[in-house]
Amino acid sequence: MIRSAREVAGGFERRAEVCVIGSGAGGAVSAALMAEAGHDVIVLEEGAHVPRTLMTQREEEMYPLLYRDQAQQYTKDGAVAVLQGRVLGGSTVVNMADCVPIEDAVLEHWRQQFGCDGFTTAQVHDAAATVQSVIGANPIAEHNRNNALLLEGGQKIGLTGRAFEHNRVGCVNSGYCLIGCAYDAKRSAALTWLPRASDAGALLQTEARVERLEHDGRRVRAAVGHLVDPVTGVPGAPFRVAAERFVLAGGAIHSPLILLASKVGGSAVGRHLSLQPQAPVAALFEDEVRQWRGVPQSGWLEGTGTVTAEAGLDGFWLEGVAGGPGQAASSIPVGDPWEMMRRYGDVAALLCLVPDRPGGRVKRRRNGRPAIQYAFQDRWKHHLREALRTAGRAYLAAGAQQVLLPLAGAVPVTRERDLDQLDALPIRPNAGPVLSAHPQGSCRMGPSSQHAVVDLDLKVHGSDNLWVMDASVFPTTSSTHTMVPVMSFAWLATERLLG
Amino acid sequence: MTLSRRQVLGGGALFVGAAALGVILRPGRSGGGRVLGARSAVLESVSEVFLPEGEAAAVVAAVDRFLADRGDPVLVSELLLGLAVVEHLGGGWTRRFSARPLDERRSVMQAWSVSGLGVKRQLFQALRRLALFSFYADPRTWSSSGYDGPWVSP
Repeated sequence: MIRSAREVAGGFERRAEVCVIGSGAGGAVSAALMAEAGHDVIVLEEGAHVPRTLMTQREEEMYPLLYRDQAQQYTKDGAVAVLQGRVLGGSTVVNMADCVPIEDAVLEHWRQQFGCDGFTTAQVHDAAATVQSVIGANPIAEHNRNNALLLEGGQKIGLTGRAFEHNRVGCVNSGYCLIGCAYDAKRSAALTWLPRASDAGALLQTEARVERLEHDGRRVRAAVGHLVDPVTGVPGAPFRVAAERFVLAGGAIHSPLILLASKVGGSAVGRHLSLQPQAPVAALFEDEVRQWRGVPQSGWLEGTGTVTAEAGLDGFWLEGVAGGPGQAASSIPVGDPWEMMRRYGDVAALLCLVPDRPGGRVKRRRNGRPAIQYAFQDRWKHHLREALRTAGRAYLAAGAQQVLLPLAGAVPVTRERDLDQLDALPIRPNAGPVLSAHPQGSCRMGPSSQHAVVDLDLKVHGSDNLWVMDASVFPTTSSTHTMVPVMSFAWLATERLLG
Repeated sequence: MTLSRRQVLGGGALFVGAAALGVILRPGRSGGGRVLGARSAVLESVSEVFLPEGEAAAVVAAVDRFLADRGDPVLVSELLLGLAVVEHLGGGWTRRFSARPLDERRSVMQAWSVSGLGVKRQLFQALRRLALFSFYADPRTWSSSGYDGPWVSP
């Protein structure tokens, strides 16, 4: 059953066997498995339930409704937009639907560098296969012109291009994936795991923001917070949920925030944050591209991207991307946006995906909101520079009339030697648009409570009844896209928890 | 409003460009907004730098309506703080930013985009995003960009 704040406007108290905080990729999987195992489960979600009939395909309405802080969550210096869903189903409702499991080399990297051997490679494989089956993962069969141009340009300069797998079924190619699917084609957690949880008796309480955990040292007694307006975040009546077990799945920004507010989890809470920051590149073509229609992100180029046991993810990847006119205009890196938007239909776009090292930190501001401390790393800047150069070459090879680099002071690129300007342009905060859709690592797993927040079963060190199951547990970036990795680990940890 | 250095540098999501605060534009002057108040003039003077001639007032009025109806109070306060910084930091010693002629405001913003001071770059990027998103997300502008609009009916 889904219950909104309006139905309990005066607040509520409740007792359950299991309280799951957050309904995204991690919380939804855990809730479904626990409820199906016969447990009395309540899921607390800060966002609203937004069914397809309320997906209006209008940016000005959907970004404030579906995203954390009305899509205005930024690092403390304003340099990186940290995009997360705040809706029943979490970020799985607003993501690009890419299904990219954790590679074996990443698991080996975690074993070698961080002692994370809680789950075998075979177990992670099996879990990934299971969760992908549930969400309907399948190969993308058709590229729109935006993605086709990227792949064509990549091929011409000798790069390997591939198509993603995605969890769309019956996609009508409307292109509005980032602001919610009005056709229920994207098989988000809200359409897969959460109905299973509900059918098994779980209560899905929306518009309920957990602010802290009551505990007596080793045992958490209750999750407390306020009902909230799902758009403005303005708090209403209080609530309290007591339970035997708690699964924290608020994502890599808000899980540590709740632990910090509760003084639970030790000194590693909030540290080791990765953002995997991405920067857009736009290119103008002579013929129509119409980036806003079709699957927005279906193809990618390998760039210098490597995945090894020594370093995990390293280098860069280039991925097609598209947005509505508001998002596109505000993301046009530099220069005169009017001319570019006059020819919006002829503009192609991609994202440079550049994995980082875990160096950021989540802190708690006095008003209870997160302060995301993050600095661009030299290695990341080096890889981004190479990614931008490669993106420019690929677009020019595909026939672009001009390429716009996302750095202040850049001039439009019309020939390869114009890319030499990249050697002189500074890459620094607020030099241009940078976004993160894959924050990870702020409640790192590991065998030692000195360096990690959760143990190898994802249970919080020193706690008897609190687990964390979201992207915050990954010691380094898990994949180029985190939905399947999060679901896989939530599956494994919940299975183990259930015995 | 008194601004401490800590407030300016550490304001968290600081007026980051309420990039998603698009709304339906209606013609008219922004005047004193319900939420923006006297800062409406500052936002209008900044938006004129980024938007086609004659469009800024409608954008500001629309932003103000959004903030009044659906604004996150924390983000609103950060936006107001940011506008206060622009008004004073972007005006020079003798004037306020909003009192400067458009060509001077363009020069100021251009300089801020590559400034060595992070706060200036942050404000430039944030307010540019706000103006451009609010303008181009509006159905009134779609035909000029060739965008054929949503498939579902309002």
